[in-house]
Amino acid sequence: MYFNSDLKAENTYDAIVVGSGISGGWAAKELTEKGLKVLVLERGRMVKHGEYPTAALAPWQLPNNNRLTATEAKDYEKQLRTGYTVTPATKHWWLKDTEHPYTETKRFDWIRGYHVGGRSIMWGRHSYRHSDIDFTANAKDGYGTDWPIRYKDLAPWYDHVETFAGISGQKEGLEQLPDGKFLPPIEMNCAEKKVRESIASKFNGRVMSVGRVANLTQDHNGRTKCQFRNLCSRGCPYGAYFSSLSSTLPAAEKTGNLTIRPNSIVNAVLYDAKAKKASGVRVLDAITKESMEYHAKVIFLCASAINSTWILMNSVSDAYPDGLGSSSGELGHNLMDHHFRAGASGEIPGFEDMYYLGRRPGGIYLPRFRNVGKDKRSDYLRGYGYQGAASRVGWQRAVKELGFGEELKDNLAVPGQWVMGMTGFGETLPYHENKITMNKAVLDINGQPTLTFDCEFKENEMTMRKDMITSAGEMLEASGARNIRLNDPKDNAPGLGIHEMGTARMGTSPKNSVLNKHNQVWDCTNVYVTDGAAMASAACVNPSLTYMALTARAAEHAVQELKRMNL
Amino acid sequence: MMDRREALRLSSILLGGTLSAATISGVLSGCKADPKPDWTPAFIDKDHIQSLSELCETILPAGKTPGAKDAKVDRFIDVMLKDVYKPEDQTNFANGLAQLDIDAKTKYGKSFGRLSSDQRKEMVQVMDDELRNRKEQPTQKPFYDMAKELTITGYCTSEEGATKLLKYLPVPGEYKPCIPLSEVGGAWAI
Repeated sequence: MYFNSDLKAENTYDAIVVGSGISGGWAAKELTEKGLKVLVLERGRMVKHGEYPTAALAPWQLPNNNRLTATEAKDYEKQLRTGYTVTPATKHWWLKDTEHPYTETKRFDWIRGYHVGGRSIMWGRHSYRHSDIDFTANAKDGYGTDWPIRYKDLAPWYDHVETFAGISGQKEGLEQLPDGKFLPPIEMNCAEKKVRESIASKFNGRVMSVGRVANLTQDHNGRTKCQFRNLCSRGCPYGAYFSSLSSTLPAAEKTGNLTIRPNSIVNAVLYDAKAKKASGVRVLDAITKESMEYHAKVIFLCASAINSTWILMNSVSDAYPDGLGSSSGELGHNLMDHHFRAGASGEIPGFEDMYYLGRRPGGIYLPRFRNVGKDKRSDYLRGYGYQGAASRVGWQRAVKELGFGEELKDNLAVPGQWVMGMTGFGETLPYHENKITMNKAVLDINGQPTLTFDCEFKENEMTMRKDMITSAGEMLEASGARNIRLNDPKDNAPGLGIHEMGTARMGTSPKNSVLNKHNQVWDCTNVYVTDGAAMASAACVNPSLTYMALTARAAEHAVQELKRMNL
Repeated sequence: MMDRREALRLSSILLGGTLSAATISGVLSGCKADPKPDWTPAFIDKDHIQSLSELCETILPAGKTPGAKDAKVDRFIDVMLKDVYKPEDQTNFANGLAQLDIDAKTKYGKSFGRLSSDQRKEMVQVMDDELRNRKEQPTQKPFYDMAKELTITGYCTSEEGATKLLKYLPVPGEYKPCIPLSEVGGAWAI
């Protein structure tokens, strides 16, 4: 008895954060800096900043031109659907589908890795604010449920997270893409500047900006500026892009209030029906397979949209037999991603004697212009933005043309044409029927139940894609591009954007949503969910910056509520 | 508006082009006994390895800068075929290489690896012209396409090719978006 109570004290913290990716890292930083003793539970292995084994390898030091062997690839069948994620240089960041299966009623690409830092190591780093056009979209057209917050609620928190993370970008003064606290922008190259000017002049001031990316253009908060190697996804030894490992977890560690426990699979929130509060979480140790409990006054679920939802669905009690947060009937529903890869590319004539030095870790961003201001589409709702870049084609162009022998070598030694490509990222609507459900028939390597995905793009998305393609072609044509190629990939399934969100959404009432305006589970207010699960709509911009801002805002709320003895 | 868009869609050109259906026979060669390479291939039939090495060298010969042999492109191709390529591509490549030797013997009475440099160039010229002028791409990539693609890739990602023919700068340290090409002096390796 005595021993047990000691053990309980030993396993008790002020706050538990589940997950150590972008959201979990922020929760850990904010809560520890506000004085809470925080336990971060990460299901994957330990990784510390600097432990990036492939970061400095040259192309010839990687096997098979950095391609997996056919035998290795068998373990990554779904992770490889992106075509770019799993390589010998990065495979330690991606999980094996053979160990972590899921079931697809319809194809869904669930691309992820389990380790301290999560996907903050491999993320795309584009960082954009949602605008009030996004926060009011559900209320205006009736899809999904209204966001319980507006831009003014989140704006100071965007300021806060941008200031710490270091986002390079250019202010453009656009209603649909609010400016932020930027480090100096990465410059556009000659061809991009020409395209920017052509688009502005021929499309009534339409803006093509440079990507706003979490890559440092100057030394920042003890981290070194970008070296323009563009090898971010291997992990950056310079700490030149924002990740939990380079940024938030070291800040949390500095407070002396942080404990990280890796290999700790949280499979349930423990619900105390009398107190109507969570008392802690149940953990399965991935190594010893031992089950144990950890306790805290407040719990932050930051395990990724899908896995935080899985934890809630698996947190079954007499009060909530379908899982904690299930009372609205929305838990696991409204699954969203961005639909993308539709766009165009073309050769930009001229600038033959111009080139660049350095490999840029981002590109251009062309913010949404559809259903904004005077633009009104009759055929679809909401909008899309483009990412892209111009570059001179390298040796990869040479297979068909350029001959052989000395002629080929001479041709390889000089850069090819300037080519500009643009890929749309489109908003998907929140559909109740796009969902994940618990699958107890298929277990993962740890004996845990898995998920079944039933999600699809619908008419609004498919109609928008046609416009994404033609508009990209039109803008390239207006920029004088030649040999324009329209890209309309047919195998673009949800999940491929790796922006899954919405499965425990925020809302205005316990009847229409899982979370309230502070990201608290309506039914259990000392549980906060601040990752992609919370999103009531997807907008068309990359979502991670919004997860950061929501997390920091929720952490402040939690600390105030603890002081008020409300949790 | 719709018409212009449709015209744009129709006028789009695939940069890769397409190839006509050239059937590559699966005839096994009966050729023998080229000199042994100084390494042991894991996939390529040892009887054809010299021909592969010479084909790669004909595509990217040594001169002022290193060639395919210096960059050990033949070894790269051997490993790629064994470890990465699908069985049908492996078979296609092996058959194509065997056929190259059959064709060389038919024309010159020797395997491709034993031809003179001019004879090799003459044979590669025919294959390269066919690739360049091809209008439709067959579903199975022809042998020469695979060989050329693998040779260029192996060479340009090798230390020899990346640092001696191309410009290699592992840690640029800065980004200069618009500078004269002459300041760089050539094409970047990565």
